Amino acid sequence: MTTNTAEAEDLTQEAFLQLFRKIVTFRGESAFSTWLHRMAVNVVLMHLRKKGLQVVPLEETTETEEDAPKKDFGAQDPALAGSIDRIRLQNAIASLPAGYRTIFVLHDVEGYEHNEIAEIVGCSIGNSKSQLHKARMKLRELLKTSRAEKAIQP
Amino acid sequence: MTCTEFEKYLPDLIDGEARSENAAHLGECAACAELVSDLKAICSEARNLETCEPSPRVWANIQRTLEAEGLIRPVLQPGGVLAEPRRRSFGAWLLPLTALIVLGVGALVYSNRSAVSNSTTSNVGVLKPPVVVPRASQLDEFDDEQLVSQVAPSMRAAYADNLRNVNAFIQDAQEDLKLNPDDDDARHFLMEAYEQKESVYDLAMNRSAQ
Repeated sequence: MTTNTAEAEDLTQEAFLQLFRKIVTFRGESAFSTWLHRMAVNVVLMHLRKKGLQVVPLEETTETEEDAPKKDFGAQDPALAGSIDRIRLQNAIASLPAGYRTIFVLHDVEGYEHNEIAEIVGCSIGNSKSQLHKARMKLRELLKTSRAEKAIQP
Repeated sequence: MTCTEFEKYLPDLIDGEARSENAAHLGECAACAELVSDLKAICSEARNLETCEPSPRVWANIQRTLEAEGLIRPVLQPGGVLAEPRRRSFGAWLLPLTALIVLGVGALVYSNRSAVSNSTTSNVGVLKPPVVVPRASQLDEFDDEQLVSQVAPSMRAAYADNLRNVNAFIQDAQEDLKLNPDDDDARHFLMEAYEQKESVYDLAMNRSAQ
């Protein structure tokens, strides 16, 4: 969520400390991992707010015309399958808007289901699915652009 | 079905929910078929991405903070003495310690029997266990480079970085203990540094065994 390793480690530390301090408040109403993840997400969001970065709820339509994935059904570029490498994918994920990145990482990288993501992030299941789809479309666009740029480099 | 209508079913299709009308459209539309193929490739590669492990510094800071807040008790070695790192023989320091204790007890007994009031042996009962502080090169049973070569290529840079940090931590702690040999905090930090290095090795060996 932060795209910065040192910052992520500091926030990991803070999340675990909060876990220890608040462990007695865990009521077992959700899975422990969900509760921990929720705490971690809140730690990050508070940190981003303190940094003055605008944190917009996922429920809102936040994307600008530029951010929105292009609805391009035309096959002008070769398919991506077989040409995605890990570094390019990681760079593309880091380039995603924060809301897209959070949902994508939780679902496609870490394997959480939409009902769990909704509880962790505090959005609806429908919104989680919608954001995930937009994230994937945006990644496709970024990866195709990155491949095209690499192809024209001397 | 148009491509715009098809896109509404895309999220469920990528996640494995097939519908007959979708299959029909995919059979007719090369662009949508390629879109589905691309999105599935992205999901597949994403599942193979490894999440980064925090460096040993994170766990050390968590432990230190929790101990300072009284939420956990400080970790002591068995017997409350400074034990050597687990990788080395446990018996190496027992003989000199035992010898010192025997000498010390013997001296106490002698001083009591002789009843010398101005004896200088009053301090012999206060013994600090000898601190066996191995040099960093003796600590390594594995060569650091050999360890790094055993982990997956995608993780080597992170492990090399962690080893550099923890070796620097060990060096600092060793120098501190050399300057302050009687300082319990200096001993504690040196042991913590060794344990951090052991954590890095354990993590690397567990991963390479998977």
